[in-house]
Amino acid sequence: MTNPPANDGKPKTTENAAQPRSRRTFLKATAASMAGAAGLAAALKPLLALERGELTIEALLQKHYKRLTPEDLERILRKLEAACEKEYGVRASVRDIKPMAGAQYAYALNLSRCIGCRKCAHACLKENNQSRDSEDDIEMSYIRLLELDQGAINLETADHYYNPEQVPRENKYYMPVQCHQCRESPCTKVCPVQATWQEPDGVVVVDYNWCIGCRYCMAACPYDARRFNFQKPRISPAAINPDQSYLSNRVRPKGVVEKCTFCLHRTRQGKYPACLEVCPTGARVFGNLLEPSSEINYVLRHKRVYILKEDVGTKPRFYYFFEK
Amino acid sequence: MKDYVTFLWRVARLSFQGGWKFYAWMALLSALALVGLNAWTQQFVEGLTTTGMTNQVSWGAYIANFTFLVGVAAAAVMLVIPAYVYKKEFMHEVVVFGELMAIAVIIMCLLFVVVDLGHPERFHHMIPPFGIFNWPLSILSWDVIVLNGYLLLNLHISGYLLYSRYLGRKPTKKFYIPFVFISIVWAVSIHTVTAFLYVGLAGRSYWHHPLVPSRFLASAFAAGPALLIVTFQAIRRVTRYWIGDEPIFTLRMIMTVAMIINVFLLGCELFTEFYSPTAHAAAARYLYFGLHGHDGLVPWIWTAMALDFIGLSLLISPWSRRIPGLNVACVVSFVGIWIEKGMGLIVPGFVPTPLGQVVEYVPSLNETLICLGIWAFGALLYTWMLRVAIPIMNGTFRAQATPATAGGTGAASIVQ
Amino acid sequence: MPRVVSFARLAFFGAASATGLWICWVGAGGEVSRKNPDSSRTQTAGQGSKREILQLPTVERSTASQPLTGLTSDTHLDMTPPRQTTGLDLVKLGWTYNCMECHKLLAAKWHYERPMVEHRSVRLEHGNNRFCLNCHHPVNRNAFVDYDGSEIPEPEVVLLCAKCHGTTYRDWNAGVHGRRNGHWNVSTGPQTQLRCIQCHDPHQPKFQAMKPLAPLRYPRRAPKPPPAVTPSHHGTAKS
Repeated sequence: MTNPPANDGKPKTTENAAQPRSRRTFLKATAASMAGAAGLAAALKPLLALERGELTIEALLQKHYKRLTPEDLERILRKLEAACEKEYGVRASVRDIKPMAGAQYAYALNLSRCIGCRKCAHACLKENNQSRDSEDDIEMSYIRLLELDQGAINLETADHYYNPEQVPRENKYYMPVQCHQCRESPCTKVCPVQATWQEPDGVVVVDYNWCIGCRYCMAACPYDARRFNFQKPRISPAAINPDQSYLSNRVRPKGVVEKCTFCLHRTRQGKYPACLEVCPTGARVFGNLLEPSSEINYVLRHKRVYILKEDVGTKPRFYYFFEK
Repeated sequence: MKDYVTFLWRVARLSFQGGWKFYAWMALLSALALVGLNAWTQQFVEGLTTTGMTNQVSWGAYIANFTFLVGVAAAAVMLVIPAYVYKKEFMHEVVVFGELMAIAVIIMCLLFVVVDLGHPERFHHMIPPFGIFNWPLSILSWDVIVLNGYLLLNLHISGYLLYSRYLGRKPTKKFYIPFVFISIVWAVSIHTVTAFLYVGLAGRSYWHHPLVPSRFLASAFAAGPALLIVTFQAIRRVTRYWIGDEPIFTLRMIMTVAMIINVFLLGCELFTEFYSPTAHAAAARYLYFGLHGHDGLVPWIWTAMALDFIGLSLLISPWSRRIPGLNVACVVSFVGIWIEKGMGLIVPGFVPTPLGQVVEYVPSLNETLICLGIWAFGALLYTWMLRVAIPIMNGTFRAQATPATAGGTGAASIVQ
Repeated sequence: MPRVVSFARLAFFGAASATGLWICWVGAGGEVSRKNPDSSRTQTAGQGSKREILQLPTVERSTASQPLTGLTSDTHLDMTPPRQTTGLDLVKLGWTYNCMECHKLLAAKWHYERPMVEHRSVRLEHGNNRFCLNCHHPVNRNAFVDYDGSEIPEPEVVLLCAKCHGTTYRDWNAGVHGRRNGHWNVSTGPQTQLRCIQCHDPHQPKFQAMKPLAPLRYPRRAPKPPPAVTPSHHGTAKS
């Protein structure tokens, strides 16, 4: 072992040891700092490409949805409409539709009826203004369709890309999966800023103007129900659905998470969600849990119901059921 | 107060003094950090589409590096415990370097989180009263608290000790000893909470595993000391501060024990995953053997396993009683754990997706540059802190005699 | 007796051929356009040229005459009705939809040995049912037949199906089988519900297979797309 030299005791400062200031060092320092400044400026140059209006003080100071006064909200809705018109030339109506009193939604899907035609996944895009590279790009659709082998419910063998001439195929069955609007929703629990929460009617929503884009909710979701806007949404003006709402299908900003809201802009107005409307087989059942005679209560009473990943303890509002 | 301002002024001047090697090293790191900054501004403008992340694999290299680095930061405690709990005198010579490293690394961690955000400019949404802090429900909010708390604790302890030394006075125990002990618990907490980020997610069976926090700590207490050992040697070689062999070999012992536990826990995990072919083991099958023709991580994880075992074998053998052997063990273990715990832990959590979709992930160039930039920035920060701390520690940077008369009150006001 | 039968047959064929020729003439005159020249719908295999003359043009009912599914305001959604029914050919040529117009000439029989002229596209593949009169009323062809021989009027066809498909009928009534569209909350707007035969061809009730819409794509930014077909799916790829 080496002897440790004394590490203290010399009150001589390093500055004294340094060279005295001179013209030369001054020039060097100036050159170095100029190089540094130039480097910094070069590094920050891409910021010039930021679109005007993308980073405004007003946007930075906008409060959480639940804390907005009705006047604030009204102003924001009009701004969103103006932005939609300016950007896409589409006159949209962006509303804030409050939950209906006495309504708690739930969804049921008949696995014996679904034929895997993907109409729901595509209708979701048409209704909800998701970003898409082309009109048939369903990456951002809130519904994923799984083709499974009969004889098990083994998601690991699911084929997401099936594309035969005709469905249903022999020895296969199909399982559409979308947000389960869990009663014990892991996604809302993990959000560090409460940008996502469960509404009184059971729908889990996202405030796109509050989400910080950490994607913790996506990691937490056991149903792969959340999508992230990795870029500014791409959507052709012709494809925009002008009937929009703040918490659901308005055109999203980039960098935020979005998800299925049971089409709350439709369902809160008494309509069925878009995915149900287009389902050719009628495999989809939607209704109000608080209304004893509703379709959904009928399913829960009369059918054998299967809850996807029940072991995770999410208590979904989405049920699968079987026939025969 | 005036003293403190003088101190800061002198520190600022000191920061820019050094030989050409120092300048070259700092210029290199600055350049890399600027490249990273440039890549990040690119990402900020275009969105996270510049990364390799997808809806399916929604966390990638940023969060992987974050997770790994939290462990490195926590490992500073492995210097603090011998120094303050076991009262090893020789550890007091180096403990401050560990704390400074923790500071630099925590800042890197915070940067890795910030670059991962889709809306970093909305960070204030987390800060009440304007923002909403979802505490105690969200583990991420816990992580924000523990990480920033750990940063403050280390800033206080190392700052106080260094400033006292600069003033040439003995530090008052009550101003730092309690914080030292808090920081010991806190260090464990930062890594445990970070592990809970993942463990709490019941939907991701690969992470939803009680062993994860223990493994996090074990691997952190191997990787952290590995980095410290190498750093100490660098310090004693390139600076005028002598670090003896005792701290290094104390760290070696700690690292060996941690590595044994780490590899043991890894074995436990592998057994659990593979003995019964459950659906929950799909991620592990992807990681180790590939799934449905996707095997992007297989070479990486086997490299990591090999490095871990080489590291462990070196550490428990007499080889590592000599510095060269020890250095090999350190580098090998550090890299092994970085792969295994970064990409090897984060990415398989997303593969396959909860719906069985297998989508692979490779960081994009832009993303890699940002990671590199943050690493460079961390190194820059740590080098700068050492640049200031070492002259203070070896007594070449002291309060001058002239303002000493006013020093008493000035120092007191700082201490508060 | 056999002579009577063969005479009836001859008379029928004569009448049918005449009708067919008349139809061809009308078709050539352009008064009836062949909206759907898809010959796969009519079975021609193994049939003589004389039979081909008898082929009737199949004309799709315009979508406007299809029952509504959902709301007319939802123009952005695909509201294609589940089953494109093709109306009776003679009806489309100006005959009324009164089945008895023809059938008063033709006595009800349990078994017909020869191919018919009208209803030739009918192929009965419906469980145990082998005879027209399993469902159609033997006397009043505008109605269906109940257990006791009484009539089920055409608009209440659902009750006919309910004879065998009680559980399904119960589900349908609850809105759980089949398509209910429009407003779930009927106090806010209209609701549509399709009847059995609007999705199921009563003669071949199996729901028709269809081409699925475009599949999910492997993410653009991710490396290494999956093999075109996963091995476990090879076996059933063709069928």
